[in-house]
Amino acid sequence: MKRRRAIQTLAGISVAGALPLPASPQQTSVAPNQPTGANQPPNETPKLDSAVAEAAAESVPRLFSSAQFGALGRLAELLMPAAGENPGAKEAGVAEFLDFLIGASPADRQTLYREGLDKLNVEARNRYGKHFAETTGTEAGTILAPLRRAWTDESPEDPLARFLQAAKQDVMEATLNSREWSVTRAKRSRRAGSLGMYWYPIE
Amino acid sequence: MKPEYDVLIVGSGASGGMAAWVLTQKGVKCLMLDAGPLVDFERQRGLKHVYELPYRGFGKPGRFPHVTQADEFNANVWADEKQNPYTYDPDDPYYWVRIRLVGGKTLMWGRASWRMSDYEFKNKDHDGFGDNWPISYKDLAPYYDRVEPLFRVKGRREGFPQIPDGVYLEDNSADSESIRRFIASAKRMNVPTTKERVATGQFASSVNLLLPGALETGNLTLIPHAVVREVSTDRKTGLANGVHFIDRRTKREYHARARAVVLGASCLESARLLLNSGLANSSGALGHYLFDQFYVKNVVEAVVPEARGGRATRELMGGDGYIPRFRNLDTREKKFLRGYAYDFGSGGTPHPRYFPLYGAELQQALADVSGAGFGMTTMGTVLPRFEHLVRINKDVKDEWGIPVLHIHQKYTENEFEMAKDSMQVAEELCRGAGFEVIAKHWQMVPPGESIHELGTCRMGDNLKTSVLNQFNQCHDVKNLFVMDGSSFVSGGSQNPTLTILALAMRASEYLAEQMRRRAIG
Ligand SMILES: Cc1cc2nc3c(=O)[nH]c(=O)nc-3n(C[C@H](O)[C@H](O)[C@H](O)COP(=O)(O)OP(=O)(O)OC[C@H]3O[C@@H](n4cnc5c(N)ncnc54)[C@H](O)[C@@H]3O)c2cc1C
Repeated sequence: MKRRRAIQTLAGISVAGALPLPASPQQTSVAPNQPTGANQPPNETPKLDSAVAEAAAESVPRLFSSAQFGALGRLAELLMPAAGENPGAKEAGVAEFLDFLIGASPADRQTLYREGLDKLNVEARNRYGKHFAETTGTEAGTILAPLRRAWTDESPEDPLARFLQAAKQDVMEATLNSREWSVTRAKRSRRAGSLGMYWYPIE
Repeated sequence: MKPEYDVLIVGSGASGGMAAWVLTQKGVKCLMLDAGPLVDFERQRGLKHVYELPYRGFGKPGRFPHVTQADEFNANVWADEKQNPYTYDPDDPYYWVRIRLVGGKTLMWGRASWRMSDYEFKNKDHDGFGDNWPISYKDLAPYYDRVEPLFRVKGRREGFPQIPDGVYLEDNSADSESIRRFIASAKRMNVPTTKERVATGQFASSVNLLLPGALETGNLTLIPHAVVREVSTDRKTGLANGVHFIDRRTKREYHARARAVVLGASCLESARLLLNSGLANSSGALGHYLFDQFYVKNVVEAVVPEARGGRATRELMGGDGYIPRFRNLDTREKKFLRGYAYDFGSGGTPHPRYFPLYGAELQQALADVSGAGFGMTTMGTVLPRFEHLVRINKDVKDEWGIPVLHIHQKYTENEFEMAKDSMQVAEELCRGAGFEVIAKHWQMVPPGESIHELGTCRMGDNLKTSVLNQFNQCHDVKNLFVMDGSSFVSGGSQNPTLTILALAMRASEYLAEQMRRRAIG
């Protein structure tokens, strides 16, 4: 980002504005690299820095009820807690993100999550008389026991176990792919692990 | 009147690209039609952070229910499943993975390049099942010899008859200690190993290795966005005289004319085209004998104990290799015919799902095995069966109004037994090397997912049981050729593209010669 800003400054483009204007015949006679003076319209198309919405705004949960959302927040925190400098699911806004992602997912995925979160609340109420969101780590641990079963290639019969497996995977991935995770890692290593080759829509 | 071309080629992937490469250099004027657009690699790809993607790398949910290879970075590469539907019985799902861009699937392929042998070409002689090919290894060997340098295949010559040696950039790279230990374990069990054989370069695609040369001759006209619907024939002669196609973007209809037609639209698309054209099926074999390779991904997941706790050094970990088929060569298995191969790789961190833990404990466990993983994947031979087939489903049409395929393929006892065997052997190999096996299974991915679909227009000498002759030429329509993997009579555990390329080269040279002699066109 810093490099881009430097290039824009060199080209005499104010970062805050300057939409490219269609070039007039006179302007095209100006060599493209020539610095543009105060009276000359810019000849280069600016590349503006931008941010992602998640960096600047709260996302509004849409799918889950407040009880479900509370359970998801607690579950995410338990599955992927912050460790040392590394942000956890909470710092990475994972519950908010999953509310969005699952809300955009096929119906069976939504049902798996909704029923799974309800089940966490029912279990917490039956065992400890509270919402799952209020459970201690030890209390929650008894409810999350299916995650301590050895791996098999069969998808579990028990819907809670199926939900917890899916959530374990989703919460980790949503944390590792978050902006917060990337920023923290970038401070420690020059290798930007979150970069990938993106294919734009091909017309 | 628009020009009539010598040869019209449908598809620009491995097979279509090779046809163009050979034919244009022999002075044959070719028109190539591809359903997809051209890729501008500078403009249409760029680096992004995963968090900049709208779905944080998860991809738009439900966009690609059958393409497990799709992620949010590459989602725009795969053929859109809504525009390009197909059907199957709900109990037997088929994962059809397609790329509709100039270059086809060679834009993304893993580049593994293995020769097939007479264990495949003459498999009936060997074990009595199915049919032999009308060619043997020695017929194809000279073409393999030319394809490998063209695709800059790297490998090591070993003298194994089941994967004949080729013309390689010699791979003399050293192995890490974990790989050396694994190879020693395999040797003790009489299981052969070798280096991977892969086409090198960032791309080893039709778009950089075949099409530029063909275009340079001035004999190739390439038209993207051209969705071919049907092969047209001359009413009097019954010969192919061109194709009907539709502009992908505008749906405008066209007809292009040529003296011969080559289909290289990929295995199932070529079968679909023939079925929709009502051609080349006097045998009743068209669409039948669909098979692929079965994959058991991560059949075992192991950890190299000495690499735990941050000790996964470069000397100890890293690198990969291949185990060619070793079953049913000189001996006979009781439970299954033919055999399977493995890819193996050292390094990397095992997937969190294998650990019955969560939270901080899981993070600690993962940190402990960071870089210490050792994994194996099985690639198994699938028996071609008449009842595994594609047919046209007239009730469903694609975005361009073209009837789609109904696909029926499932794995059977022979494949299941092979998969189980591969799990046991993989575990023994890892244990023999002193690795800890943390997970094992034999669940295959659904048919199609290996992206090695083959058959449906098989070749043969018998006009009653095959669609093509040994030169990929339709028995019924002499100036119509099918040059992709649909011509395969059977397959092995080897990935098929090198063989597709060699067959397409051989068939194209035959076609050029037939045209020169005026036997065709
Ligand atoms: C991720 C991935 C990894 C792979 N790894 C390997 C590997 O390691 N080794 C290996 O051997 N193989 C591998 N493969 C498979 C390999 O890519 C294919 O075998 C090979 O590309 C097949 O060549 P083809 O010419 O038959 O089809 P394609 O390469 O798919 O080309 C077909 C072309 O036809 C066009 N087309 C389709 N229908 C129409 C129509 N109706 N009208 C006009 N044009 C049409 C398509 O747009 C496409 O460009 C891999 C594939 C993928 C996707």
